[in-house]
Amino acid sequence: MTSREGIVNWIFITPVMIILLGVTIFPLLFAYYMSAHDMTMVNFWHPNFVGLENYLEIITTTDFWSSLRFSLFFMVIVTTIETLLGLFMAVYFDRPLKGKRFLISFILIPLGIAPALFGIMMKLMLNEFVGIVPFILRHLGVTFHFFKDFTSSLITLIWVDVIQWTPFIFIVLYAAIQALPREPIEAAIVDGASKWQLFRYITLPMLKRTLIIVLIFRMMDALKTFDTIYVMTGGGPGISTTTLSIYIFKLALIRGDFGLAAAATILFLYLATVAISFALKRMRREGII
Amino acid sequence: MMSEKKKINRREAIGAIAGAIGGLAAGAAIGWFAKPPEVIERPGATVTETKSVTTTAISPTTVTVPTTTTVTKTVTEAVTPKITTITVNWFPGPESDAVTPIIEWWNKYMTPKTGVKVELVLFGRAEHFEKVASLLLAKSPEPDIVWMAYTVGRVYEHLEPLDEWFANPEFYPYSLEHYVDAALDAFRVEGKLYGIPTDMNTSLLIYRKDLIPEPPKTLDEMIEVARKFTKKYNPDSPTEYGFAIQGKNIWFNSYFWIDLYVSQGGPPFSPGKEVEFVESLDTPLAIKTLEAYVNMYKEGLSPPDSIDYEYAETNAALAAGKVAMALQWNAALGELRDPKKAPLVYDKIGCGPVPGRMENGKYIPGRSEIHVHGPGMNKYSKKKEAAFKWLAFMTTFKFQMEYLRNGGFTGSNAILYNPAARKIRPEIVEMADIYRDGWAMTTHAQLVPLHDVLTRNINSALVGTKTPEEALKDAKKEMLELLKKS
Repeated sequence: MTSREGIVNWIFITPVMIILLGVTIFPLLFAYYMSAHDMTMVNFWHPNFVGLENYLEIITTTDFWSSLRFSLFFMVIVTTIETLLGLFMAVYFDRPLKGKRFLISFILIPLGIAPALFGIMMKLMLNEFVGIVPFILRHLGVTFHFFKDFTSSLITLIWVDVIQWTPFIFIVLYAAIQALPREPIEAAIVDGASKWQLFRYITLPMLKRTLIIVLIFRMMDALKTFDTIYVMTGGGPGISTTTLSIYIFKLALIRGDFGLAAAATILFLYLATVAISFALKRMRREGII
Repeated sequence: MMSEKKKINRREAIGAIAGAIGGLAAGAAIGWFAKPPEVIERPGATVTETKSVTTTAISPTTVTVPTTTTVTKTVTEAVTPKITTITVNWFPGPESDAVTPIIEWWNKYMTPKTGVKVELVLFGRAEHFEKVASLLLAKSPEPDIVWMAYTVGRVYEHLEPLDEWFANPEFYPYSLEHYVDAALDAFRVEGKLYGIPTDMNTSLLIYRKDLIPEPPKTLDEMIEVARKFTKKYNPDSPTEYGFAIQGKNIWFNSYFWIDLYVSQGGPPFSPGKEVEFVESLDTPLAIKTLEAYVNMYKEGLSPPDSIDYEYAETNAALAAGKVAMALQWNAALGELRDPKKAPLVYDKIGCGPVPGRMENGKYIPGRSEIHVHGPGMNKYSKKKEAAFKWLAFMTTFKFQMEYLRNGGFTGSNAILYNPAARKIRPEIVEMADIYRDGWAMTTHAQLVPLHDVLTRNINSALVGTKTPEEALKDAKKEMLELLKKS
């Protein structure tokens, strides 16, 4: 590489480096700084150093653990349902169907709506007096209160998340199925494989890599769910549907305690790093990366 | 041969792109340094006017001699003062709609007189206070005027105390005397004033006046009326539920319970009385009031989903004609009396104070908290004098009447008891005494977390994960810790 090329390379890299420093490295370092100080809105410019006190307070708070527990629980449930449903739909749509393109476009609509807006829309649709869903249910002789207690709120939140995010899994898997080589499938058909055997032994193994990637993306996203739940239940009843993201948001902007919020965020980051390392290891083993 | 050609092309392309970037950067730099100076609005220039006047003098000898007089007139005084443009941040929505025509009027008629031009700056409604807090924390000199709320206690260190400015006759006309005491108190932190209460809010008992001729006066009476209008207990009830509790775990929903508690004799959660209020939370009176609130929900007097209700859901329940009563913010009144927004009930909505109590055979009406919104001055503003001229104007009767006409509502007795104002907004007649008798909500720096703790615990009591006694004891413990920490 000539020195001229080196300079040109630096010209291209420098803006990206500056942006990266500004939006990633600096906030991360500042988060560490905040987590070691008793920083609030009032003493923002002159906080006191408190060492690991914020971390200790967070890990000894039951609210942190209960919100972590709920985040993990919610992540496992919605990712499982959405993956199964998305996979089923992708396989189902892999055949000539009337109005297939229209149906696919229709299914994808929730993906195009901002999660907070989607939550508000769903809340209106589920309102017991003015919502369309309770209206239809009433006509069918069913009474269901969507936010009456923890169980009903949880079912509602899962249902809303599934409606919004199943299309994501569906469209990725559907595209992957379309790209699969047809020869092994045709050979299996010639050998007399049943539909289930085709799916179980041919399609699914070939989809495995895409499935792992889509699962990891969805799990990471579900773990940090905020908008929909915040606008629908505000983390209630009590704190029963408070995710870790909502908990951190409340610490920072409701309680105004940036130090505690930063400590909780860093703990969350480490937990997520463990999960991501596991996922990357798995991806490496599968030869995806 | 081919690869060599490719290599040259790539190099050339890289060179060209790098050259283009370099050229753009150089062009931008030249443009920056060569840009024309900003046009500064200046005072009126000195004008020299030469005027020739020809006069005919009549001499006693009747000889006519034509003479010419030259008059030189020098205008040395400025025609208009130096114009200073201030940035005024307001709350987007009905509040900014109300102030926009006033700003237009000011810029047209008052700017030449005062030398202050106003530029409106709006942020998003949902993230308004976070944005303002971020700007203040960053010590930004703009906006010069920031729209504040009862959460002023969090950022008051970045705001200019207004008491000394209001004590300076140089900036007259202004007046603070006509404000409702609670409205001013709700903008005071440690005794100092940090904002002008241009928008005053409270909570009311909203009820169906076609079903309930007089609003219930006590808590027990309210529960009885709620039972009467709940289908579960009275199949002939025209409404499905007698009451709508705002039970969502969102920090400001505790206000409704606090209003009920204070109206039953509890101490107000006022500035400087935070500890007294929190200490009282495990008293029999507080527990009894929460038990009554929780029982209304458990007995089915309030819709099952009201555990997740806030402003919009409560309004929807009232507008749909499904609920007979609710404790609700005063802003709801306008919506519920709008034939377009509430066609089923718009002419059937009444309002009254929060139910009070009987004490030694004497009726003591309920009292609601008052919280305010309004402008404060950025401590880091570089145009404080100009900014204060605008703030002073906002305390005048003219501003308040215009603001009222455009949909705003100022915390001022001059408005509450003014016949012209009452003609513009008839609901003022019903609400004037409620405002006058209100108490100021605390402006403590920890106001939001304090309410958040209380709301969460009330919510837990409503869903039954805690008893009212446990909920209030837990709330007390956490709230005292927060107060101690600050």
